Amino acid sequence: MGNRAEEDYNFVFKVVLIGESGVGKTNLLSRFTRNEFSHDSRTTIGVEFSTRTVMLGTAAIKAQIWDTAGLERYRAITSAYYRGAVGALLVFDLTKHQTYAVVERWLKELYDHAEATIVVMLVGNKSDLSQSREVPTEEARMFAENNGLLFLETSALDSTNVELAFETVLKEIFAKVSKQKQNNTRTNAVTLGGGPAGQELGPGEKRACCISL
Amino acid sequence: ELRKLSWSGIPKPVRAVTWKLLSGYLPANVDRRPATLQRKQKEYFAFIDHYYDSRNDEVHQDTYRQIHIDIPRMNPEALILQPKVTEIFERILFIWAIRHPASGYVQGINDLVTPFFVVFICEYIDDEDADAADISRVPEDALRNVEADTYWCMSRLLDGIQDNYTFAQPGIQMKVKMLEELVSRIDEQVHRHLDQHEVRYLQFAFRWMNNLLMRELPLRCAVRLWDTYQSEPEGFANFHLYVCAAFLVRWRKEILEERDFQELLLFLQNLPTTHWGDEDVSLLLAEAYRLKFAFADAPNHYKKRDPPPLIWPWSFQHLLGADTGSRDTESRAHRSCSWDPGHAHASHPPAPGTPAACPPVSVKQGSMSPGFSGLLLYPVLRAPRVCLLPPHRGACRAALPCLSSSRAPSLARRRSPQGRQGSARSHSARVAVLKASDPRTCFIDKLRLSNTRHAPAVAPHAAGFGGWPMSPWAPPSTRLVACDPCDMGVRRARPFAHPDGVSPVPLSRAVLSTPGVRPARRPGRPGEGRRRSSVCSRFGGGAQHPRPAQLGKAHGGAAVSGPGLGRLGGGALSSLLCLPDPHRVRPPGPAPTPSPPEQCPSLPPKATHADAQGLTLEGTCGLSPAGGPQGGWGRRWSPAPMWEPLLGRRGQPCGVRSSRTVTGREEAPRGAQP
Repeated sequence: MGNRAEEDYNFVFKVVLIGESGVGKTNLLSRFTRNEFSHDSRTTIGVEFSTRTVMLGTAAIKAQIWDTAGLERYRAITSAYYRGAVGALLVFDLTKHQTYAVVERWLKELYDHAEATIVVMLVGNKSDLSQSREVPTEEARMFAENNGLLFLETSALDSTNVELAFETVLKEIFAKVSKQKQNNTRTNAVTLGGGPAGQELGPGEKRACCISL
Repeated sequence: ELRKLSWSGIPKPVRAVTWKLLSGYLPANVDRRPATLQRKQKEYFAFIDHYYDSRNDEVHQDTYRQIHIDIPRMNPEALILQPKVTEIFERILFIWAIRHPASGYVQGINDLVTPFFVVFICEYIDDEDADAADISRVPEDALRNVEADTYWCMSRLLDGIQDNYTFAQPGIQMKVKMLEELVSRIDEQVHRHLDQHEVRYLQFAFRWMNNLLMRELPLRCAVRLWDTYQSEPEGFANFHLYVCAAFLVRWRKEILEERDFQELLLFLQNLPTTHWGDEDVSLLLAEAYRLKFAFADAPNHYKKRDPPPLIWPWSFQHLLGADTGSRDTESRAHRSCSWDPGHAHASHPPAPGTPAACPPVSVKQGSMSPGFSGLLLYPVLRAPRVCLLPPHRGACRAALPCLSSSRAPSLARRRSPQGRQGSARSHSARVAVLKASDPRTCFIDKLRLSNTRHAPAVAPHAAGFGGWPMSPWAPPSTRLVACDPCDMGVRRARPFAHPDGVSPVPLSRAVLSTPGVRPARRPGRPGEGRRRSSVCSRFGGGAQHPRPAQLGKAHGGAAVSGPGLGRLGGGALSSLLCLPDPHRVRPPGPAPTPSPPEQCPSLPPKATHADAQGLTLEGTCGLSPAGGPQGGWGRRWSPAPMWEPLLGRRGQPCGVRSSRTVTGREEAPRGAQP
């Protein structure tokens, strides 16, 4: 798994990062895309955006990740970005129970605006701060299982599971897309559910066709 | 004076006091300043005593928590992370949020505190670099001053842009939309490029608006930027838009080089401004000023995407007599109108009779654009042909159409009051331009009708209507009626309320109709006439008001018989707009035949304000001025000689209800027919 030349990819998957303000979404993203972490990264206003290309088997997957602001007031703006997303990381701060308590609301919002087939992973971030943990792992895992979500605990600070979390989501999406592709004779315009989702591109093709904002 | 001086940057030593003055916080009177400051400071700290303890109450804890986690994430860290500063920021933001529950605290507001704080604290420290100033050296008293000053100045600022932060952030959404429109005008290439790669303005410009570019520029630049914002009237709310546009276009080369959605967005979200200095900001501001100058009073510049305008290109063609083969009004009336605006082109208007898709019908009242308080009329009717301005308070004014021209070089000349001679020249130039150029705009009093579909291809100045001055034209209030000669789509039109609170006139009802046409189009629509006359009665609030239906008839008649003007729209339009029909243009002087003689028995003087300005009112004018001078313009109107014949039965009260009794309809002006 590594970065390939940005120009070379077969799929573009749109993934959104959602969750309460201050849970570490931006740092998860910067850790994944640039391997950076900042203790005082600035608040996200509206949405921010980053990409990284990863290899899954022989397929190059370009993850187009939208980092949304967690602030309630921005919800009207940010929820528009859920459309067309094929994956989501719902992040909470495992040292702040309040951020976990509202996960259900986030989930509902996500399903309201995104495809029902979207791959969602519940991410408990800040696992390095285990001494001040307020959300037990098992509780979150149970919740995830009951709601059909993937689950991982990560730490953007010490990079624990960050790659794994994104890759798991991308793999899951890829599996879904591949499966659908088998069922579907059309080679282009592969979708999850109804909307445009991942789309196969010819090798070396540069255009990102799956953007459907 | 201070504003003027401050526009191009304030020297650091006086910046703090200047900002306080400009924000309206500090009184101009020197003697009153200490007392005011003291009072305000006291007030602020009373707020703190009163509210700050409630920060952990259930109601407010969310707000406080948000502020608490946001402040450490601000820039410049070296300053903000000092505990004393953090506390000050928390207090300021919390108090503001509590006292402004409509918006409350929203991320982004915190960034707006920083410049004030940094500037004010600089009064007490002499570090060159305020970003990392050590606050502990500042005496407690001074900090209290700074805190209170910052709070009040920030409040003033936010008062002007509060709708940026209320629910759904309408202010920002609107401004981003305006930015998009503006950029599409000033740099079509960049706009198209972004559009092509599916980059939406909201994706990058939201933050520009939400944080007033604080995130995009280094703090020193933001402070310099704010010098100007404070000296501009409504700088933060209004001028900022132009700065954003200039800012985007500033990167046009880089933008055009990026050929990929992701690369574009990554670039736009991380613009390389870290090395920027005052000079870059000054350049940006100069460009923004230029844009504002060109566009601020011309809202239609960024109205491109609005529904197509009332006046369609082919209407102009009618005006210009291009529509020569269309006298068969009857048969045309039978055809459905399906002109596709998408294919409309000035030089290729659809054949006059081609069926036309009906544009959506809507009337918009007012405009979102600053400095524009009039009405915008969009295609109200399915096949709108005519618009006229019936009287408001007795004022019937069809001021000039100012048809913009990409050719006419001298915008200034047209702007300024001209002699009639000059105006006649420019008028014909305008008409010629009309034929040739794409962008066109009609201003009728406060109303602007624009057809700017094709404008983007033309440079902004060439587009011609940069800042057409409203004042000389715009009467305090004007009522607008759109007339559709065929009475098409009338029912879809909605009444609109005049901003002045005048009882709304059903736009649709003031229909100019050709008796021969309408029934053919809409057989079996009984009651139409009745409805129309009821409109008339509504119009007839004052005896001096011309009956719209009457007007309509008259116009209709005029147009019907007009040369090459197709059915009646063109003629009526031309007369209403005081556009000289090429076939009718004649030198100033008594017009051969007053256009519809029955019409406008009493047109108020304002109608001819344009004339008073020496602006072109020649040819057949369907709306004739009459009456005495009216207040509000500070100018006495006297009918120009060339108007005399047009005045019709001046002063005759519009008592006739049944417009169908109008006779002489066919006696439209023909004197100048070729």
